[in-house]
Amino acid sequence: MNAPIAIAAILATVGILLGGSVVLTRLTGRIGIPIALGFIAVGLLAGSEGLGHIAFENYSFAFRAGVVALVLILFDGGLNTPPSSLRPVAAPALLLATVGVIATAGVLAAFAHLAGGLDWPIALLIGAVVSSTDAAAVFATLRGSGTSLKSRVGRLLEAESGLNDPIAILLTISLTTFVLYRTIENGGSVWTLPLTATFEIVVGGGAGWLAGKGSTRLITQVRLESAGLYPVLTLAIAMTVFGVTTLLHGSGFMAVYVAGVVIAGATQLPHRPAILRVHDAFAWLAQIGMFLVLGLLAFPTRLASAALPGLGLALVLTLVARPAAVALCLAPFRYSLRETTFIGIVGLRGAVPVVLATIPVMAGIPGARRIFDVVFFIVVLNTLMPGTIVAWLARKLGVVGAATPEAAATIVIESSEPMQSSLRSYFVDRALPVCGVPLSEVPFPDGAAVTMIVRGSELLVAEGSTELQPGDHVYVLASPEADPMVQLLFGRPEVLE
Amino acid sequence: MELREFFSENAISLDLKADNKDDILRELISLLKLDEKSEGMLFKMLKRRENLGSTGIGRGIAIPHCRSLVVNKLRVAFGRKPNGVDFKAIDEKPVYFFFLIVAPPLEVSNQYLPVLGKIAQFSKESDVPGRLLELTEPAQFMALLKEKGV
Repeated sequence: MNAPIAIAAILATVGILLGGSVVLTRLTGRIGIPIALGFIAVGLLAGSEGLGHIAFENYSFAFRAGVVALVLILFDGGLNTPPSSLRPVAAPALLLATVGVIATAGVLAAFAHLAGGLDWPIALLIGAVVSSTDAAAVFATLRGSGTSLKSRVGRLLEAESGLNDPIAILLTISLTTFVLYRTIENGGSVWTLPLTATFEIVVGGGAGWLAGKGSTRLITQVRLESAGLYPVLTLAIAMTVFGVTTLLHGSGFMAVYVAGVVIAGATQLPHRPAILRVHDAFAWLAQIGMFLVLGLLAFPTRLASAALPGLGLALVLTLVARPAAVALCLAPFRYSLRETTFIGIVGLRGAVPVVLATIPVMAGIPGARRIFDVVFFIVVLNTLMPGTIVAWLARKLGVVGAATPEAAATIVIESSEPMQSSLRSYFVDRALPVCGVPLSEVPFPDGAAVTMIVRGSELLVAEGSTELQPGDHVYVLASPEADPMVQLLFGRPEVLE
Repeated sequence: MELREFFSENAISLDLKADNKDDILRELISLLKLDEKSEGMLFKMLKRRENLGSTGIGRGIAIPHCRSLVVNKLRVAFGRKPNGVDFKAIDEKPVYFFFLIVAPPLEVSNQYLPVLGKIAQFSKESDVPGRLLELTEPAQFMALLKEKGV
């Protein structure tokens, strides 16, 4: 086959798989199945034992692509988590991301060792591979069912999932090295692990913070010709931050997440909507790509033998290991039993374990393919079991927040220069003082005015006689001085993507 | 319409004891001297409003407000916490001064929003936070309103 034809065939295959996965999100969202499962199913169908007969068993490619995917996912996660939303949950999130990850891995490993007869290092390795969570999986499922979470529960899940990936990655790489070292050298110390991990995380966090500050200055001052160049610049920043920090022996994953958070905190980021949208698309592409690869790498005939241990471990992870680790970590904080239970049960697994499971295979650890197969089962079952009941569970445990329905139309101001005033959307709830009041009677401060109202599928002109109704989305243009009064009247603004 | 028509000295506390947001709301409600059931209902409504975004508008000031069946006319109260309390204010700074507004669900005279606007305007005056901090008795609060012509 000559080169152009080969590339055409590859592009057509990737295009069909990606397109199929994207269209499938409509269906999975409607029937309440976590989206990730749909992607895995597409991968399985396309694989060598499925309809597509694509022979793919390249773990090293999967790992390299996986690292790139994680960089994109973590950077996007950071960009969507400004420091202001991270701050109130920082302490419990950090504890969950460190002690929680280690405790989850430890409990699961103990079960794998005692009940499954696996060697401690291998058992710990499986624990580490599946120990990080993915809040995006929880939110995607909730969005599909029109439910939203209490803000402190949602924020904690989100912050934890951004912070625990670097720890899980570090644990997996360290344990893989340890297993190999012990095998080869017949000995070696595992005691330096916590020290190395702390060093890498601290260096990663520090480098990310510095890079985030520097990048924010660069983005706000560079004044590029075209709006389309800004997301290219932020993508370049993510790659550089990851690469340089890793070369400096810090955790590149921690650095790229922290850099994203710091950039998200910038008050005047030029072309913010364009930057966020493009990175959101990259993160989706990365998620889909990773789950497709997981589906392609799995062989149903081989999976059968991993079904029983996989099922057992998935049950222990969902019902024992994660809830126990969460209860331990949240005990010092003021979280109710219901909130702790919910956070414990819905720590869904995402794309990270898939990438991590390729590390032992690539490193040549004996029996690593079996680890991969077991991880496949754990990820699928852990996504399926809590994933399908997450909305029901949220209602049952009373952790549902005030859901704000999305507006049928949104306006976003894109500016290349820092603007003094801002245009924000506010959702009219019955509990607001402006609800049911004509605009002419609302005591607007100087420098603030309603520009438009979105009511159902209608756009309304803001006139004095227009009465604000519950469910309206009101666009208010306000100067920074007028902002406090506007928020007193309308509550906090809606976050527009 | 003047603000001081709505305030009364027995609904003013210059030394709030509570040290968290919920307890501050409860203590402010207690200034209105309602029965226990009404206090509970009012607390729920105020919490609902706070969940939509803090009424702490910055510069140490918060104006918790809601409509509720438990009052038949507009009621207000003022509370001061000299050490400040974390009220999740929009400037993320402690809040020292609290103006509580409770309006009935249906008002003929439509005073709710004008009172809210006037209190916000009054509290925004540059010397007001300093003056509020200097008060030693409720009567001085009423005098300050009179002096400011509100």
